[in-house]
Amino acid sequence: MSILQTVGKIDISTVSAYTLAMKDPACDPLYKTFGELVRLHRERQEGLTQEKLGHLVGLSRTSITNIEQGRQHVALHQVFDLADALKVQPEALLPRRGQGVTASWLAAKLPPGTEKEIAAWAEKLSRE
Amino acid sequence: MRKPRTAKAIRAEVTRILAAHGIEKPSVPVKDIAEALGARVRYSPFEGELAGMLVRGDGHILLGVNSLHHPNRQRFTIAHECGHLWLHHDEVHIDRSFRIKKRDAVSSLAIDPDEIEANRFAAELLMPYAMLKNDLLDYDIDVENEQDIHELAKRYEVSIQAMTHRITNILEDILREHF
Repeated sequence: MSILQTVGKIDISTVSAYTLAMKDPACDPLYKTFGELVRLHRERQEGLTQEKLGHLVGLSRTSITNIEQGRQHVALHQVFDLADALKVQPEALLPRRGQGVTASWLAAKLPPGTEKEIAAWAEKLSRE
Repeated sequence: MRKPRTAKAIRAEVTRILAAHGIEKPSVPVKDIAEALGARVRYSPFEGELAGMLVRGDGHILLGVNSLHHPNRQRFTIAHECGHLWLHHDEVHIDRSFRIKKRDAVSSLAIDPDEIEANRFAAELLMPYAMLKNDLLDYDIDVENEQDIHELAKRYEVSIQAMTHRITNILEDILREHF
């Protein structure tokens, strides 16, 4: 039974595009973008190493590395801790809607695990 | 797994669609038919194993075609997606263009009833039984003659391989019906 058929049997239209995108661990664009923003704000502050940031928020250097690379999913309170440590508003660390993950009607329809290239191709077509 | 609908059952469906749109002669305008069935047909290049896609949602039906493929292949893709559109209700069909040597991919496609039906639909739409039968009889086509097959393939805008395969498949029906 193909993945398409399996997906066809559940009503994926009720699942948000964000939740769907998260089901595929290889495709975590939201956390990747979050991580990039954390790194951006950390590097703006001279001498703020991953280790120091980790110390400020009670996490290990490895955790900070993982968060910055989008491999570790942060909890809500950690977003606020990180924002405080980086001296920015929490919003500054949040990806904009549509950034990192596409939240169009099409993205919500594609089965989890659809190749990124195919999803991007379809997305482009749907906008024409 | 359910059994795919027979070639004859699908032939009846396609015959109705062709009649409704007044299509009596090759080549069959598959893009027009796709649009008449409610799809927006869009072309875009894709480097990789993708022939086309059908996605339904929010009042849209998007039929995407890999424009890097040969025009005959693109026509087949549109016809195949029309099959999914007409026969199936899933929201998404992604049709990858696997090579024959990828054994797993082909064997799974070859037994998936949706795919079998969409392929039958495509063959019937591109090379409708009644049209092709008339051509074979009227023009006294020699099915062993490469040049004849070549001419037919051109007339229907399909690959020679597709035409050869199609004739082989319907020959028995024609013989049973007429001789």
